[in-house]
Amino acid sequence: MRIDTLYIEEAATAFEITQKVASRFEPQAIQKVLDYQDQFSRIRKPYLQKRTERNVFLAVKKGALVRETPAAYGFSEKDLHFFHIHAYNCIYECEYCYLQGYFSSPDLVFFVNHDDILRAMHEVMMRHETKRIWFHAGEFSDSLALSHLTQELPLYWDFFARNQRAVLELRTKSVNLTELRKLSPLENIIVSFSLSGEKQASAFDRETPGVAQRIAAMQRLKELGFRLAVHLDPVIYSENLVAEFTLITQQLEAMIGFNNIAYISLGVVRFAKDVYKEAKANYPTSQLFARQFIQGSDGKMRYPRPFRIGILESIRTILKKHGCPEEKIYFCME
Amino acid sequence: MDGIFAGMKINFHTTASERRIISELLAIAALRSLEPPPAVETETAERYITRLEQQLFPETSALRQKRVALLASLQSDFLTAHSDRNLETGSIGLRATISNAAQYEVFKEKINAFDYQHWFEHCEQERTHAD
Repeated sequence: MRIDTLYIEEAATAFEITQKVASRFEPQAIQKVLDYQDQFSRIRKPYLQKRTERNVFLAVKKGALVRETPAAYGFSEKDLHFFHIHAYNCIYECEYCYLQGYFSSPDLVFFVNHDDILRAMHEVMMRHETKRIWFHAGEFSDSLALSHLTQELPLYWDFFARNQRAVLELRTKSVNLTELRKLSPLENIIVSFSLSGEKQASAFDRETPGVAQRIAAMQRLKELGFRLAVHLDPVIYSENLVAEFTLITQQLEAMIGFNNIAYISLGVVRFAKDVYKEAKANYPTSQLFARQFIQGSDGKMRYPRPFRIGILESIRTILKKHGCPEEKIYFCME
Repeated sequence: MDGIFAGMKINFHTTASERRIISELLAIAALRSLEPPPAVETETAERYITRLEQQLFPETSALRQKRVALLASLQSDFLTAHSDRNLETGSIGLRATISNAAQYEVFKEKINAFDYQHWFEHCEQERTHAD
């Protein structure tokens, strides 16, 4: 993968994986840095600069490695949900992405201290000895898009093979199955794909694989025996919403089968206030903003409640009509 | 956004918040290629916002009107009631200035007569088709 500058934090050089990952990139320049944040956070870099300049940082994650998710984030409310942080930023450019303005730079950061992350996961499990614990990957970066370069998946596979009480969710829009093909499916690892209507995806999901390609990747993983899930999130209103989601539902039913999908989350587009402003500045003529957003009591910008609940219920009805069991559907962050 | 607003002939007084709301609504109209209603000289910013919302979000506006109707029994010259304009919650805000015993009796009667369960159920069941 061609990048402008590969920054390697000094502390990261002690990790075996760093050299392996570094050798996979083709940087114009390599620079060693004492602390990656000196470069990554020092000067605010416009989000859209990712179109013309791409830098990569290999660094050691300090501070929180595993964080509890917001309420109603994952499937199964009786379980505990956490996300782990192994990377920042993404190669895709979705107009609604909450990473806009979240970090001071759109450059890619890959953390190499996976053993520390796994240790933090283990500590969470020890703190909650009787609970099933979910760890979601892909909160700050697509979990598969560059996994053939970052090569961390086998480390997590070992951990989850030994810890059946933990569940790993790999959230993605990628069709990069290179690494997954090398690994055996595990009952407690779920690959979840974010899907939307094809028109919505082509309008708002810049640089991502098309929805048909994502469903084809799901089909391939199904054949390989992987557990799958779907996020119909974020749903963006369009006049063709019902037709578009009917079509996806039919495709999922025909190509994957709802018995092969562990769960489907539904969520309507939402933004933190700052991200909303940033997204509007980045994409001022986007149809994304052709509806009214209001600020809720949690500070997030969303469609008004009756409108978004109406949307969610319409899609749930479509899914149920096509044979998706109701207990597999949940509303995300509602 | 301000550009859109700057291009409009607004002949009535607007606060900063009203300007922001009008700008947002005009931007939405532009994204949907809709011609916004002309701003009439004699109207207020609040009335113009309502007209814009009725044009852009008729179902949501109808729900707001329904809420106003349901709260009508709590309105008087010394008592005002309002609900969450965003329809996000079913919270009711009350403001009363009671100056004498008679008003206090009326206040109690109005509160006791209000069918909160009906209100709550209405708010929970509010659904709009996409508008």
